[in-house]
Amino acid sequence: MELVAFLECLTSASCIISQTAGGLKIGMLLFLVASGLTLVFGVLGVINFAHGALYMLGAYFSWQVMNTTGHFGLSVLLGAIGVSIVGLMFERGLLNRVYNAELLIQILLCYSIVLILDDLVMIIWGDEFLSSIGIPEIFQVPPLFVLDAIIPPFHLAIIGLSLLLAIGLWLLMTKTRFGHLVRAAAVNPNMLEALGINTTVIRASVFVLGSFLAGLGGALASSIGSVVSGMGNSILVESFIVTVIGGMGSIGGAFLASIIIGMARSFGAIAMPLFTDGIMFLIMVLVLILRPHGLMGDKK
Amino acid sequence: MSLLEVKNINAFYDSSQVLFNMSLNISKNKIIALLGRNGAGKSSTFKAITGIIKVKSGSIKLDGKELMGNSINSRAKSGIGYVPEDRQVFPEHTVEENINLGKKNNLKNINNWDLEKIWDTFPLLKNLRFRLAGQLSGGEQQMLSIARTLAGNPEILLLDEPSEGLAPIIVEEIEKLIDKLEKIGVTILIAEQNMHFCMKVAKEAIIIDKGQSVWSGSIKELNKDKKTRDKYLAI
Ligand SMILES: Nc1ncnc2c1ncn2[C@@H]1O[C@H](COP(=O)(O)OP(=O)(O)OP(=O)(O)O)[C@@H](O)[C@H]1O
Ligand SMILES: [Mg+2]
Repeated sequence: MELVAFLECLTSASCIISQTAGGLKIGMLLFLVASGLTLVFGVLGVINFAHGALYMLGAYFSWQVMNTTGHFGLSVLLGAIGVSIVGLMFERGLLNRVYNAELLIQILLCYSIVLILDDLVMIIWGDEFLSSIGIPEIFQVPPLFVLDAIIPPFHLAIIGLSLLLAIGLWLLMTKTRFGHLVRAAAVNPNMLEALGINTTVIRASVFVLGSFLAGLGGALASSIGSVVSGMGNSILVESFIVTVIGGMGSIGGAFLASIIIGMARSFGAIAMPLFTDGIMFLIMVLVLILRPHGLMGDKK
Repeated sequence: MSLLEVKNINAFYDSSQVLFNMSLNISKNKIIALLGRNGAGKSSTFKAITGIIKVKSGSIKLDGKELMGNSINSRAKSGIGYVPEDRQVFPEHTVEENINLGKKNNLKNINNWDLEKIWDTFPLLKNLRFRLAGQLSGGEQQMLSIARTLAGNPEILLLDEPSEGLAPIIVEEIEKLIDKLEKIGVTILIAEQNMHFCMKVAKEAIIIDKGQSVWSGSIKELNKDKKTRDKYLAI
C-alpha cells in the first residue's frame, strides 16, 4: 500500500482537486450505464447481463459514425440511438419471453447475447483495438489549472452532461406521467394493467431507455479510450456493484454509489494502485453487511 | 339489454377449474350484490371478467361488445372498472398521483370523472391528496382504490368486498359513498359476504356457489327466503 503517496495527496490541494475531478468523471460515466441497469431491473425484474454488451455496441456504433461523418455530436447521438433500437429488438424478440422464467434462464439468454455481440463486432470491425474517436475540437485546448490541479475541459463536459442527464432522469421519473407509470409498474404491474394501462409498452420503453443510457455511456467512452470486443464486461461488473451498493432498482442510490465508486477508484489508484478493483468489492461487502438492501433500496 | 352479459364461462387457475358455466346479467344503473360463501368464486368471477385469470370458453360482453380474448388493459379501456379485494393502491405514490394513474390514455374528450368531480365525491381524499397512499388507513385506501378506478371513467364498477376488515363506522362511510354513486347512475357489482351491508346498498342480488350462479332476485326477497340463505350463505 502506497500510504505515503496517499497522505501526500491528501495534504495537497491540487492532488485532491484533480483526483476528485477524475473520480467524478469515472463516477458520472458509470452512473449513465448503471442507472440503465438498475432501471431495467426495477421495472422488468430482470438483471440484464447484456447491458455491458449494449455499452460496447454504443462505442462501436459511435466509432463507425465518427469515421464515416467526422461529426462528434452526431456519432455520440447515433451511437446511443442505434443501441436503443437493438435494445428494442432484443426486448420484443427475446427478453419478454423469459420475464416469468427462472433466473437461470434469464441469465443464460442475456449471456448468450453477450457472446453473440462480442463475436459479431469482431466479425464486422475486426478483433484489434480501434483507436478512440477522440474528443471534439472545441475541447482540444490546454487543460484548466485550478490551484495547480490539471483538469481537462472535456472531462468537465462529460461530468456536466452526465449530471444534466441525471437531473433529467430524476425529473422524468418524478414529475411526468410516464415516470409515474414506470414507478407504478415496478411495484404492481397487474393493477396498473387492470386500470387500463398497457404495461407491455411500459416495459419495452423502459428497456429502450436503459439501452439508450448504456449506448450513450459506450459512445462517450469511445471518445476517451479505445474500442474493443469485450469492453463491456468490466463496466457490467462495476454497474452491478453500483446497483447493489445503491439498492437494486433505486436510481438515486445508483447516483450515490457511482460517485462513491468513482472516488474510490480515483483515490484508490494512488493509495493502492494494484488493488483498485478490490476496493470496489470491499465497499460492496461493507455496504451489504451494514445495509443489506443497499444505501437507498427498499426492504423487499 | 344488459350492460354486462357473462355467458357460460369456464375459468381456471392454471389447470384447476374455478368457474363452471357461470352466467350473469347486469343491467345499467343498478347496484347489484354478488353473494356467496368463502371460496364460492366471487373474486374469481371478477378476475375472469377483467382477464386476470384464464377463461377457456363462454362469452363476456360489455355493451354488446365481446371481451373474450382481449388483454386486461384493453378490457379496462372498454369500460371494466375493477377494485380488488386488497385495494392495491400504489404505496409510494401520493393520493393524487394514484388517482391520476387511474386515468386512461385513451379517454377521448369526455371524462365524467375529472379530478374536480373526484374531490367533490371524495372530500376526505382531497384533504389527503399529497399524502403517500401507503400511509393511509384501510378505509382511506378503500376510498382511494374506488376513486382511482372511477378516474378511468368505467362503464361498470366491480367492487370486491369493500367492507372487508373495516371498522363499522368506516363501513358506513362506504355505504354512503355507494348511495352517492347510485344517485349519479354508476353501475356497480359488489362482491360481499356481509349480507347486512348488501341490504343497505343493493336492491338486487346474485348468489354464486361452487363456481356457478345459483340464484338471482331482489335483496328483499332473499331476506325473506331463509331456505335459500341457509343453503348458500350460512356458514
Ligand atoms: N391463485 C389461486 N390459485 C388456485 N386456486 C385459487 C386461487 N385463488 C383462488 N383459488 C380457489 O378458487 C376458489 C374460489 O376462490 P375465490 O377467491 O374466487 O372465492 P371468493 O368467493 O372470492 O371467496 P372469499 O369470500 O373468501 O373472498 C377457491 O376454491 C380458491 O381456493
Ligand atoms: Mg374473494
